[in-house]
Parts: sequence; C-alpha cells; structure tokens
Amino acid sequence: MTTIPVIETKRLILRGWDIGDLDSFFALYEDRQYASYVSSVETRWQAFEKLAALIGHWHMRGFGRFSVREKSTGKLIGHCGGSQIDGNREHEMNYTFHPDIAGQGYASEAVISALRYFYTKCGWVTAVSEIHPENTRSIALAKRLGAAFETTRTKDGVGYQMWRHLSSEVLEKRFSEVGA
Amino acid sequence: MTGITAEIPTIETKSLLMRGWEAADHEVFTANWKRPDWNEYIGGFRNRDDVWNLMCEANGSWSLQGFGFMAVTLKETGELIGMGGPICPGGWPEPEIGWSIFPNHQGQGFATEMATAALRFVYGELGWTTAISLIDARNGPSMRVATKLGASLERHSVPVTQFVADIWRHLPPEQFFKLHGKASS
Repeated sequence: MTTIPVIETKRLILRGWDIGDLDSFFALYEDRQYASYVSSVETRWQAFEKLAALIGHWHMRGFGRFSVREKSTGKLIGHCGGSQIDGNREHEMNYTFHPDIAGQGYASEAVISALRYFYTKCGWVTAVSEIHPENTRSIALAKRLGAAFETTRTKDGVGYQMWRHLSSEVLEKRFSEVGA
Repeated sequence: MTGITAEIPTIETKSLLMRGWEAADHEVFTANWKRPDWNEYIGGFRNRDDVWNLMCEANGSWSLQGFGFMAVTLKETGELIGMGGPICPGGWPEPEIGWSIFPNHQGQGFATEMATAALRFVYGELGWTTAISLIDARNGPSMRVATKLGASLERHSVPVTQFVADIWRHLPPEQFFKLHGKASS
C-alpha cells in the first residue's frame, strides 16, 4: 500500500491523482513546443500512460510526482516531484507547469515544497534536474530555485543540461518563507 | 488530509503470488525483455528505462482504471517468473487478461494457474462480465492455455496498436466458475 502525501503551501496543494485529473493533466501538454521538451505526450492515451507511470512510481520508490493545484480554485496547474529509474542513479526533481500560470511564483513554491519534503521525509541528500537545452522556462525556474548548472548529458542526440539543486541546509536558509 | 492511498491487491494461487511491481523486479524483468524467445509475441525488445516505465505504468493503472498488469512470482522463493493479469492500455479493443511467463519457467502450468486466478479475480472481485485475451496466431502454447481456460477464438488478425493478434473470448463468469470453481485451488 502506498500513500501519496498531501503538502499544503500558502497558495497551493500538492497531492496525488485520480482519473478525474486526466483531462487537465493532458492540457498541461497543449503547448506543443514546451511539451516536446518535457515528454512524449501527444495523445490523450499517452497522457493516460504517463499519468499512470507517475502514480506507479510511488509504489516503486516511495516517492514520485505530486499534482500541483491552486488552492483558491482547485485547478491543476502542473506536477512536480521525484524520480529515480535506477538505484545507482541520482534522485531527480522533475517539474511541468501549464504556461498560463507563469509569473506568479507558483512553480517555485511547489518545487521548493516538494524538495523540502524529499529532503526531510525521504532521505534525499541531493537532487538534480535534467533539462532540455531549449526549454528556457524550465532553465529559468532552475535558476530561480538556486540550482547550479553542472554538466551536459547527451541523450538521443540532445545535450540535456544537468542542474544541481540547493542542499537542504541552503534551501532552508534561502527559502525559509516559501512554501509551507 | 492524509493523502491518496493507492492500493494494489495480491492474488494468490497454490504456487504463485501476483502482486504490484517493485524496484527489485527491474533487473530480472529487463533481462527477460532482452530475450527474443520471450519478447517475440509481446511487442519485442524494451530497454531498461522502458521496462521501468512499464512497471510504473502497470502499478499506477490500478489508481486510474481499477486494475493493472501484475508481477507473477513463485510463492515459495519470491522469484519473478513473468507478468500477467488484467490490462487495457490505449488502443486495446477491450479489457484483457494477459499472461506471459519467462522462458526459464514455461511448461509447468504456471500460465494456466495464473490466468485462472486472474479471471476469478476480475469476475469475482472487480465485477467484470466478460474478458478477452489477445494472442499471436503463432503462439501455440498461449492458445493451449486459452483453450484450457475454456476460451474460444472469436476473431482473427485484429490490429492492436503496434501489433496484430487474435481475440480469444473467455467464458462468462457463471460458466467460468462452473468449470473452474470459485475458490483458488
């Protein structure tokens, strides 16, 4: 049995998923250019499979992706959270947000809160994000989060950028007021 | 609020335990996906990352569809010996009971044992009223399993996403239970 926890921040709720989320989840990928950087979701069924995989990751590792909702409206605005395909690979923070919510600090609020959860509850000591080099929005977010560019890793001919997130201590110093 | 609980049931037979996928299954599962003698009727090779995603997807589909493809293990040793159970990904004609036992464990009746238990489960616990199995027309052993279960060939050569398969229709619940009993033996 796996329970996907709930994290409440000032303006957001991070929690698990159900089938009612599928349409708004699919809508996160409607900006095709942005979507091409973050996943292969093009159809509703691919969205279903992706969503299933995000939920199922919690069973595999005890951590995974949270849905991110605006508290005031309940609207799904994105998802963020951890993944780790192999035990010998690093913990990764992934995030995808709908373009419409840009500029309000929602994405930082969500990612910082999720990262804090993984540091304090899941034993993470460090975390990286792997970002498509043309995904300027995600790179900008990584910078706002204080992450540092580390290296480039080529996959399928694309040089993905590896960004290392702030450690737990520095994150708390710098962003103590953000999130919960 | 305490969070959303995602539960995956287990199905037990005389010698098998079917359960959700675990990270520890990754090695053995990946090794078997490399074997042409196992992957030929189930869509071909998958790399390590794809196999991981497949396991995650199968687990998560319990939360979204109320069922999902399961890991099949030997009860006595815990060894992973294949996959099977209820499945209905995009492009499937309707919900299926699938089974695929790794080459090293075939020929011992595990597929029949597993599929019988899975049908009991979807009919008895999930309320399914019918079920199919998609079987490659060259896959003799799987057709024999279907026949033992009481299924009959319904349609030849149906295109399903990336492959073509025959549709076998299982007995409806009442007839199935009459033939195989309600309880696991």
